[in-house]
Amino acid sequence: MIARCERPLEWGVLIDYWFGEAIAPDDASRNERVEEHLLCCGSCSQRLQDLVALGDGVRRLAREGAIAMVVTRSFLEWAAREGLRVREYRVQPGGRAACTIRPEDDLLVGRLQGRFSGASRLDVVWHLENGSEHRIDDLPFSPDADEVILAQKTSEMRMIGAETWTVRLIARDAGGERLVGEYTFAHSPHRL
Amino acid sequence: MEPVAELVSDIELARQVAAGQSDAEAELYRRLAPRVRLYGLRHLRDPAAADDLVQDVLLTAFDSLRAGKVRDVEQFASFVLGTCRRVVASVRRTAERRRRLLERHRADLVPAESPQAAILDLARLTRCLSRLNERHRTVVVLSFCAERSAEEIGSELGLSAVNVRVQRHRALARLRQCMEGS
Repeated sequence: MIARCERPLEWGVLIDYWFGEAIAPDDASRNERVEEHLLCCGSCSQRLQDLVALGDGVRRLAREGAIAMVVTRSFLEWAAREGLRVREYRVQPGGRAACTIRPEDDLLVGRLQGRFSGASRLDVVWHLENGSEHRIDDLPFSPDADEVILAQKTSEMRMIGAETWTVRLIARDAGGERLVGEYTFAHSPHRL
Repeated sequence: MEPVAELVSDIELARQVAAGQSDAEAELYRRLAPRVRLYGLRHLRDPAAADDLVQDVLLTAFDSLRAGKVRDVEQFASFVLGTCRRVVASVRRTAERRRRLLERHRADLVPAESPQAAILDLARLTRCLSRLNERHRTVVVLSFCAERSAEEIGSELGLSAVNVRVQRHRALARLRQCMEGS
């Protein structure tokens, strides 16, 4: 049993400490105080351990391609450093990619090229062959970037048969909505 | 030995260690080892190096305590922290050599997971991550995987560093709540 802390460190303080964020001139001394506290306090160090375990879990799921998400070039650089095999399809607006996932692939990403300058928001809409639609609003993106990178859940992609999707990227700016591009992915399962 | 955390403080245990009580030493080691490991993970970002740090720091600290070299036993935690800092500085001086070795043998190494990752409910974590909005999910993954600072993440996502920090705080609070089932 761990003794309860009388003055527990806030979760946000633990997060900033863990990620080494410097937000004020006195942060060095604040970090020292946090470290002193953690060395003396089993309860707060356990809470920091929970955060570390969360990070271990996120990294593990990311390595397994178990998270569908928007990623960035730095994420792909990390994946390369980790020795992960990334299958990627770079598609221009109006373009089409014949895609698959092979057994040795760890990650599968679509790199949707486009111009986002002036956009305040970016949405993506997936049109599936059966007529259904899947929309994700407010993607994280940089207006200065020239692509959005979508990582797929590899376990799901391995289960899918031959199917074609149309993906539309829609930007919102001062003038309303505009289509950034329409991208076609013709997926076929890998055959051994 | 029964857990004594609620009954005996770290300071009292340190006094008992200084007086040569081996039971107290085991209990104090049990308490301090995970805390020192966290310090190592935070500063070295390497589970194996953090494990080594625990051994190096606590061996030195307990030797000093037993030998009466810790002037103020009530400040034993500060003594341990000081030892952590010295050892980490020393590790960093040899980091380049270790980096070259890792480069050479990378293919032979299996990524180490902490024991906590093994017991984390990954299915639940997957569900909790899927419940985050896209921005939060991306910020969390970039923070943990790519180990990017708030400023670097912000430059990739067109956000200010302050905004990234706010989103990271919110995302991790939600993730924690979800993992705890609330």
